[in-house]
Amino acid sequence: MQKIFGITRKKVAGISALSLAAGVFIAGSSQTNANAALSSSPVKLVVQFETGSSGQVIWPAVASAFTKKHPNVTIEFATVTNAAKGGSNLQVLIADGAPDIGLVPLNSSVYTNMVAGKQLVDLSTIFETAKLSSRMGPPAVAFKQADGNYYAVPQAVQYYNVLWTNPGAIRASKAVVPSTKKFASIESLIALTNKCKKAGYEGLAIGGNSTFQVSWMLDAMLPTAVSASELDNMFKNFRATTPLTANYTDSGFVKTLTALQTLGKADIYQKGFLGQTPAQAQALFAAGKSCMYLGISGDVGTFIKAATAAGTMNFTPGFATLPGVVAGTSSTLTPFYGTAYGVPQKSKNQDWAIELLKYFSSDEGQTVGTIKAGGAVPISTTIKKANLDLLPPLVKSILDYVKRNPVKSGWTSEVPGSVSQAVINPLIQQMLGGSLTPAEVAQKQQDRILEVRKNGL
Amino acid sequence: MNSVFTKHADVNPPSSRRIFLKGNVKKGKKIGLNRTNARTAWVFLTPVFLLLFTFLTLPAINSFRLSVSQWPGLGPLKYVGADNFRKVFSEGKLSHSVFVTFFYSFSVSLLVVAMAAIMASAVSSGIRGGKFMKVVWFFPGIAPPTAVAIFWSTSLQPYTGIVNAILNTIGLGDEFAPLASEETAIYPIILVSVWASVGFAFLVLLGATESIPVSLREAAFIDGANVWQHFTKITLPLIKPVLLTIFTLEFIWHVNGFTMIWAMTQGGPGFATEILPIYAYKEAFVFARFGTAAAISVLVGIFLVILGALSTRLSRSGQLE
Amino acid sequence: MKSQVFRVFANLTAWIWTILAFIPFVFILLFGVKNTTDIMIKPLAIVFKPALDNFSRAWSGGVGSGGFSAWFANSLILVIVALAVSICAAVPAAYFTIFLPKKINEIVRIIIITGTTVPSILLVIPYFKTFNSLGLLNKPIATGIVYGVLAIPTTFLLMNRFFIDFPREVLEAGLVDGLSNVRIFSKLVLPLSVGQIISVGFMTLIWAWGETQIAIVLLNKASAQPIAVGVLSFVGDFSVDYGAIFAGLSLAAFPPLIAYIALSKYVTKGIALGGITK
Repeated sequence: MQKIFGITRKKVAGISALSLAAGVFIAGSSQTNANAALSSSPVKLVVQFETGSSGQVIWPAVASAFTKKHPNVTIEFATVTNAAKGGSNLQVLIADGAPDIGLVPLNSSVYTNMVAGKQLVDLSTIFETAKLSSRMGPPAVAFKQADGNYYAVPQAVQYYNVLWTNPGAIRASKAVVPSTKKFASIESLIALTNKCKKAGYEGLAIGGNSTFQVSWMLDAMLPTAVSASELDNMFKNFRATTPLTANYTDSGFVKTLTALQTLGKADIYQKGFLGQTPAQAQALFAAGKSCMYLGISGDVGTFIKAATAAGTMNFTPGFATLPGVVAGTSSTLTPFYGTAYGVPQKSKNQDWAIELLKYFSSDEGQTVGTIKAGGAVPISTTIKKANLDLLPPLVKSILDYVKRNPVKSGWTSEVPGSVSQAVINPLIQQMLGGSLTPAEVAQKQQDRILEVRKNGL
Repeated sequence: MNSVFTKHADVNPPSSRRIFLKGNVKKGKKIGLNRTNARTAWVFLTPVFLLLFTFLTLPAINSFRLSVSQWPGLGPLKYVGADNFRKVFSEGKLSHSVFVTFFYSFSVSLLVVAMAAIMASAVSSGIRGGKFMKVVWFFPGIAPPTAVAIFWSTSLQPYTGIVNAILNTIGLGDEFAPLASEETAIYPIILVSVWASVGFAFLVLLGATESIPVSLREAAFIDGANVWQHFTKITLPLIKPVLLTIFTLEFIWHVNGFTMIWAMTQGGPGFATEILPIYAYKEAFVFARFGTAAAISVLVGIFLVILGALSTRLSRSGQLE
Repeated sequence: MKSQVFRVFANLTAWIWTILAFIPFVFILLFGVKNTTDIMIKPLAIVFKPALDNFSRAWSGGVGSGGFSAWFANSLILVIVALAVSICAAVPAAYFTIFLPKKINEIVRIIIITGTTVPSILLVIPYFKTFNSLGLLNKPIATGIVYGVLAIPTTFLLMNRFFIDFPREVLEAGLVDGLSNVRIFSKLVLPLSVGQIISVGFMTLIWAWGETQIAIVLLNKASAQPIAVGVLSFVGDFSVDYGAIFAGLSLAAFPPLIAYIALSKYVTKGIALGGITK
């Protein structure tokens, strides 16, 4: 059943006429003056989010609060499946009847192509006028597109490469996670998993079969093997306009891949990990069978909450971070803003959609939705402490850690998916399976970058 | 009406039936059976062709157009000639994908036909519980492929999957993880596909086996042929055309197969199970290169058309035995 | 000796197969009442804390999703329309085609076989574009028609094969009785073909019941989704509600199963009317 919030009025003719007028007005300009076009006649907005994701709980909360402020607005929900959100959803978002707010995962070709094809409404009023840029801080830079406009608003910050730990299992294995939560080196991580395996536990549970988890670790460890300027170049050199100064075949990238291969050869993962989904790895961890699980901050609100409530998870996990490539360096958690929403050009209520997104990304909206309902880290850094305290304790401890250990962006999160994650993830799978060497993986990645530089995305 | 062909089945062995039929055709011409029926044929065939044209040919033509263009999913098509094909042939993934597709489809079809033939022969020779089996054997084909894929991929996990749990109880350990390695990932998928497809093949083959005139079967036994000879020398040749049709259909369906493999491995680990439809799907929906996706699909289509034509010819010649 | 071995082998295969065919459905049902972690970790366990809320989650779906109650209705519409279209279009055509010169019959078969070879993935985009401009998206009846047309080739080919081998003397007898060609078809041939039509119809039913690639694009709105697409709504990037999936799958798999059990008598009867399918 689609849940409907707010008051429903049957002034269909009135709505269509108004929307048509508003649509014509907006279509002619790339920047909307939201307040001028807002009306008080009944408006129906359709919001799209991914099924089985935290959007499912965040949006109803936000919608409820919004419609209380604006009783003439009705909000309905449309869902997009995990499989479709990065692919066939493009067709839905560019067609007549597109939702007013659509899910545009930032590292998918849906986002890239809608921006390139000018199918998303410019959201500069949210980022600039409503100051989302300054409230978000440095990560907001990534949202500005080449033409100077903004087209998507993120839902939450997910920190990934969180090494969730099972304190009981680790203690029973006579192992110790460093109190700083940082592994000193690859070898120390391997040593810990070896102890776990001797005690009958799996080491690090990971969903190797997924299209993203094996490449996550690359994101965490790459910044420890290349200089800041090299890393910055790697974020940008898929564009032909940026000079290519950092090659993927250079030692830093290859060293990172070799480190991943070493971990794989040392068998730190659970048996059969390349054939398992994250959900299966989660179940393993929740049931206490593995010492660690490679996850995200959002796990607290999803499987950890569900398994604890169902009684299958009997411990409170701790967490740690991955080691760096070179001994003595350590990696940071990686931020992911990728679950983001935009307003399709085909929306018939662009002004109201922008208003809703503005609320969604405001401190108040983030508190109501992302924090309270979703238990996830908000995108704004200016949220009052009292509201931040509403986060689940585990998430708060991650936030504390992040404050003391600033995060570094992940390569697969910054670079469009068709150039980064979709290319490297299967290659890393092959490398971990033994059929490719790190050098070969690096070469294939380099080939792809060169191809994109030449032919465009 | 029933009496007409039970008599027929019991009394007329195949050889004389052929002559009988031939005679009838001649008779038919005299009575005019063919002429008016031929007209009616075109009356009914036209809507079929129209529908197929609209729903299959037009999109196929669209795909041809797409295969010589560059299109990211929105905006205009950009003509690029044979570029997409060149890219596909030189990128290095095509030959592996073709091999996996072929290996997968061929193995599945072969196993399906073999199993179905054995099972049909077993049931038609009066095995105990045959009635129950006839019903139960179709079950696997009834569940949606996504369901089957999720169930089996969960069950094949080491330690916790059902398959391993069972292997463990019979002492074979519980570390069997076929989906985790590039070399072995395709095998469980082949077996699961066979599991889902045998039911249909079995039913059709059973029909074919049971249509072999009872008299012929009995005559063979009287002549002293044992079960094996009976199967190979009599049953097999008679059901060969049906076998070939089923083999071809299964082959074509599995070359086009997508849902099952996608739900189990998404073409992984690496590219180990990336059959051509999955390769095309990723090109279209992950990399937004619809032109390349279309090029791959066009290649698949051409191959299948040739295959379809070949098999029709083969089964035709088989008929004339 | 060889025949003994063969008989034993065939019987063994048959029984193993019966178990293999049957047991997974028992497990799907079992999984439907277990919670997600138990499914992953203790699949064989018979003693566990039942999670019957799986079924309520599956029935009502999540926020914005239709739940099994909606999906079942949509799948039913898809199947009924698909069967109606494919059978009405293909069966008469398949019958009357046998009277064309043999060469032409072959050519028709080849043309139609080509129809089975178009990869679905290439149909998806053109279908979406056309349906969108005609306002036919998210209408199970319209998608059902698509399914029906896609099922025509297989239906035609299998029925054509069946009709080619149909004993001509039956038709002759009808002529002698003074029946028109169409009457011969409807009064003599059709009743005897019911079993075969049901067999072929089942193929279409099962295919339409599980088809995902096209449905995911043409029926993406929650209220219009069939079961095959709806079940996917429990699959997320990081969390998969396996409990609800299997509960939903139990609900999804059992109607066709029951239908098959009910109709299998017709199917086997049709096949057993020997002398026809050769």
